[in-house]
Parts: sequence; C-alpha cells; structure tokens
Amino acid sequence: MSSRLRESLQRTVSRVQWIAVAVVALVTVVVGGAVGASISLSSDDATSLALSRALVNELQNHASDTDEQLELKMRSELKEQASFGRELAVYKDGKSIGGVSRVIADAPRASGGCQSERVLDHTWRVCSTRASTGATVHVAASLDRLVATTRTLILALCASALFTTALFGLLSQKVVKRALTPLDALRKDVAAIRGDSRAHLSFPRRWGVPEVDSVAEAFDQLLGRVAALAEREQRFVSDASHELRTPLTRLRGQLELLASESMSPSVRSMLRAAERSCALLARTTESLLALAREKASCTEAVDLAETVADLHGELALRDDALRQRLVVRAEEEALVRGDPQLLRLAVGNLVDNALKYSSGVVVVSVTPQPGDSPGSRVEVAVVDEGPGIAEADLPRLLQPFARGTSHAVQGSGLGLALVDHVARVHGGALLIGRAISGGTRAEMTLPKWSSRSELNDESTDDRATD
Amino acid sequence: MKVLVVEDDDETSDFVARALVREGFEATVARDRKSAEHELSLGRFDVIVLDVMLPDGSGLEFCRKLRALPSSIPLLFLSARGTVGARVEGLSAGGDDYLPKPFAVSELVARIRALGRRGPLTREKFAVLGDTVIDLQARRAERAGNEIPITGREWAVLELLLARAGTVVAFDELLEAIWGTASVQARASLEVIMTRLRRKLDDGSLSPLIRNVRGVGYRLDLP
Repeated sequence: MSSRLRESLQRTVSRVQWIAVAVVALVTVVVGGAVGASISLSSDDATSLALSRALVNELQNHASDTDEQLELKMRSELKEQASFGRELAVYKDGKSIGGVSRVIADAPRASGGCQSERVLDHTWRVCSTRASTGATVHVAASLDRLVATTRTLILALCASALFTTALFGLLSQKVVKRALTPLDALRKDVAAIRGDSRAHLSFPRRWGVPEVDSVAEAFDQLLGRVAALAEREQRFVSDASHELRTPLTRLRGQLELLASESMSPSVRSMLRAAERSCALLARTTESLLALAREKASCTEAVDLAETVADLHGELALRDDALRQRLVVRAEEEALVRGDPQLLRLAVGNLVDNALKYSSGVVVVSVTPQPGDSPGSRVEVAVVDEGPGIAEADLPRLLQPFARGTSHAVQGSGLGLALVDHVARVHGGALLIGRAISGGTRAEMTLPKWSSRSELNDESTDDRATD
Repeated sequence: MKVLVVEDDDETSDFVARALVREGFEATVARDRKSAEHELSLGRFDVIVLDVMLPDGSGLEFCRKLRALPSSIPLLFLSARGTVGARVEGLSAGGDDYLPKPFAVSELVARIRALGRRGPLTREKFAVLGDTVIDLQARRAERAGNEIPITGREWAVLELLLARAGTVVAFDELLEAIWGTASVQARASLEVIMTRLRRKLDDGSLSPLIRNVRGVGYRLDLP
C-alpha cells in the first residue's frame, strides 16, 4: 500500500513539474517571439526612417536643383538602398521625382512615421518624411525578411524549450525519486517494527529531509507512547500477579493447616468446599494472568505428549472416574517451543472442558507432523462424545467469560479464550468444530520445534514481563 | 533443623512457621533483608526460605550476596512471579530450589526437608560432553552450534545425573526426585525419557555418555 502511495506521489510531483516546465517554455516562445519581432520591426523602421530623413536633408540641400539633376544625384543612392531590399520613391505635388517603386503609390502618409501596407500579396512597411520643399520621401521595406527572421527565432526558441522541458522533466523525475527514497526506507523501518522487542522502539536514522524526518519523529513519539502503555500493562500484570497470589498463598496455606486439625464432619465438608473454591480461584487467577501476557515468557522445548501424559496422571489424583473417561493417544514425542506452564494450562483447559461438557469418553491425541520443514506443526486434538456445540455459540466461544447456552456447568468461562490466547502467543491457532462422531472437536495446532525460532530472541525479555 | 523464613507477608510467614514447627523444625521469621542479615549473624541455619520480593530490595540480590560468602546454606526461593523465567533467574542467582506461589504447605515442607538433608547442590553452570555444550542455567544445549531440544523433565533427569556424574543414580531415586513416585507408569516414563535423552546427547557418538546399569540405575560419565 505504501509503495503505491509513493509511486503516485512521485507521479504527481513529476507531472506538476512537467506541466510547469512546459508552460514556462510556451510562454518563453510566445513572449520571446513577440519581443523579437517587435524589436526587429522597430529597428527596421528606424533604419528606413533614417534613410528617408537623410534623403530629405539632401533634397533640401539641393533645393535649387532641377528634378532631373536631383534624380541623377539620387540614382546611385537609390540603387544601393534597393539592394538591401528597400524601395524608395520621392514624390512632389503628386508627381514622382525620383526612384522607381512597384509598391509605393503616392498617398498622403504621416511624416516621420511608418505604416504597414499590403501590396502585391506582400506586406510592406512604408516610412515617410516630408521635406520643407514639399517633396516627400517614402522608404518601403518588405516584411518578408522580418517574418523569416522571426520564424527562425521562434523555431529556435521552440527547440530550446522542448529540450529544456525534456531535460527538466527527466531531471525532476530523478530528483523526486531520490527525494522520496527516505520515505521508502522509513516504510521498511516501520514494517520491521515488531512491537514486542525493546530494541525497536525508536528510529535510529534521520535522513535530513524535513518531511520524512518529521514522520519518523511522529513514529518515534507513537512508539514511545506504545512502549509506555506496554510497560504499564506489564507492570500491572506483575503487580496484579503479586497482589493476587499473595492472598491466595495465605488462603491455601491456612486452609491446608486447618485441614489437619480435628473437626466435625459438617465443618470438614465446608472446609473441602472452601478448598475447592480456593483451587478454582487459583486456576482463574493463573488464567487471567496468562491472558494478560502478550507473549510466551519462555522458549523452552516442550513435549506436548509429555504434557498430556502428566495431565492424565494428575487427573488420577483428582478424580479416578474422570481419568477413566480420558483416552490419551500420544506416543510420539511432539516438541514445540514455548512456555511449559502456559501450554499445560491450555491443554489442561481443553481436556477439562471436554470432560465438563460431555459425559462419555474424551480422546486426546497429540500428533506431530512428519518432517522437519519450518512450516511443520504439532496438533493437539480433543474429541468428546457430547452433544456438540450449537452453531450459534461458535462465534462467542473464544470470548473471555462466554459460556455455551445449552449447558449449566460451573466454570470461569475463561477456558477456551485462554487456549486461543496461548495458541496465538505461540504462533498457533485453535479450531473448534463438530467431530465426525457428532461431539465437539477442539484442535490446537502449534509450530513444531525448530532450531531457529522467532520466539528465541525474546527469551531475555521475560524478567521484565512478570 | 533450623529454618530461616524471609518473607514480608506476615500471614504467609506465620502459617509457614507454624507448619514447620509442627513438623518438628525450628523456624525463625524475618520480615526483610536487614533483619534476615541480623538473624544470620546471630546463629546458624540449615535452610533459608527466601521471598523473591522483599520490602528493602530484591531477594535475588540478597541471595547473590549470600552466595558470595564462604558459608553455603541451602536456599529455597518463594515467588509470586511464577513464570519459568523467574525460576531460572532464582536458580542462577544461587538458589537451590524454587517454589511458585501459591504453594501447598506440604510440598514446601517436603522440599525444605530434602534441602536440609542433602545440603546445597554444587551447581555447575556449564557441562561439556564431547561436542555437546550444556548451559544448565539458561537450560540450553547445543551440539556443533545446533540447538538440541531438551524438555523440562529431561532437564530434571540430566541435572540430577550431572550433579552425580560418575556414580550410579538408582532408578527409585530418579523416580522419587522427579516424578515424586516410583510407580510403574513413572518407571515407563523414565525409560522413554532416558531413550530420548541418550538419542539427543549421544547421537552418532561411539561411546555412550549415559549408561544403563542393569537392574540398578543410570550413570553419566564425564569424558
């Protein structure tokens, strides 16, 4: 998602850059062409006017000469000027007294100024100066040359604009791309944050790009807040475990001491009830504390087959009738990496749940997937012969304190939520559904033990956890 | 047997002391580190029961300080922290045993008795068996750089065999120390565990590290 964002940002900036450069080039061409044309025009006009004035001066100096004399004198000059593309004509009282021009008709024109005239399919610029003798000198220059010059100028400007646009466009693309690389690096850094390790709680890098650095800073602050929150949570769990276990320790010890005293049967049965309540409270406390832990605090090798066998053995001490209902199929070593206490709590909860919510045989099987590939899993399946779980209950099942609607069984309601949590903390999952036999099948899958594990580098963190 | 109970929760130390007295032990209670040090200066104790969290500092630190002294009184940690990490921490600070709260008084008494009888264990931090390196504190074993998975029960067996390396540890002793009972099932479990432990540690080696002394027990020979 972030790479898409980066591309679009880059494209936007480049597009704006391209448009800006193109507009600047266009304006340059238009303005440059216009200014060039007007400068050439005015300089051409000035030349024509100067020529006409010079001729007027000469006419005035020879005011006494006859027209023929004048024409003779001016002929060479006129010829020379004609070779520059200019045509000259001198009129006096409506009669041509010098020069031959195909284009300049005798017409009243403003003295000392120039005007455009269209003659013989060409545009001419005609500049006139009136002499005190009454003669008027007209100098005409074709605009064709000017147009040609201006066209060349515009072409040159266009070419340079095109080149500049292309160059700037490519350059800006490169610059933008480079300017955005820190953003990509930042994205990678953010993606690398796992949030569970203290080493990753700030960005060591700064790029010197204010926008990117400010984002990194904002992330730093966010991470700081998250870390503070996590620390608060861990401290809470640590304090809570101390505050809850201390009175439980007293209660359990005092009840145990009391049990060795002599007492009437009715008092003893009350004491037994109190002991059961105490045991339930202890289990609930441990479950709650385990739920509050966001990661496995230990990464030992745990054999789930051994865990199940231990639970089976323990059940014998608690209630032999329950033990006889439990069938264990766990012959092969099933190694996972994790916290033995949490895993035992989870597997124990699955077994307890099945025994509690059904009346028949409960089968626990522990099956490691063959092979040592990194994706291999260990599966713990608990299948009972009960009525199965109602479809409607399935979504709520993993919520803490939720309980099935079809049964009235005592319990804290933390059981499956805890199993789910422990499975996830260990990189596994809990699936609950209907068994082929009709009962409930709860299946916990966990990653098989492997030499290198993600959980591994957290083992140093456990002293801060709890 | 004289037991020093260092515990800041009065009610807990009260019932612990009562249980100990009823078992025929002599129990002295100290509320904090300062008074514990005072009691230790006054007389000899056979076992110390130490809470990890004390009002005037960590029990772990206190234990390290005690272990720096020449005297070596067996020490059992009590902790409300109760994670496996906390257990490893307690043992590596020099504790001989660890009991998470809430505990059964009978179990505490049994462990105190065992500690008093056997005295402090000399805990090796590392053991090198051929090309296998065993870090007993961190509970990590490696062969040629590859981690070997050893489970909790396997560690318990291995620790006991290592502590008694070169001598035969009887089946019943292993069973009682680790399973708490010498039942037929426990014996079957022990055999499974020994098979696995030998496979994990001896794999490919010519001379087996752990030998089954027929009808008696097991013996681990340090090379």
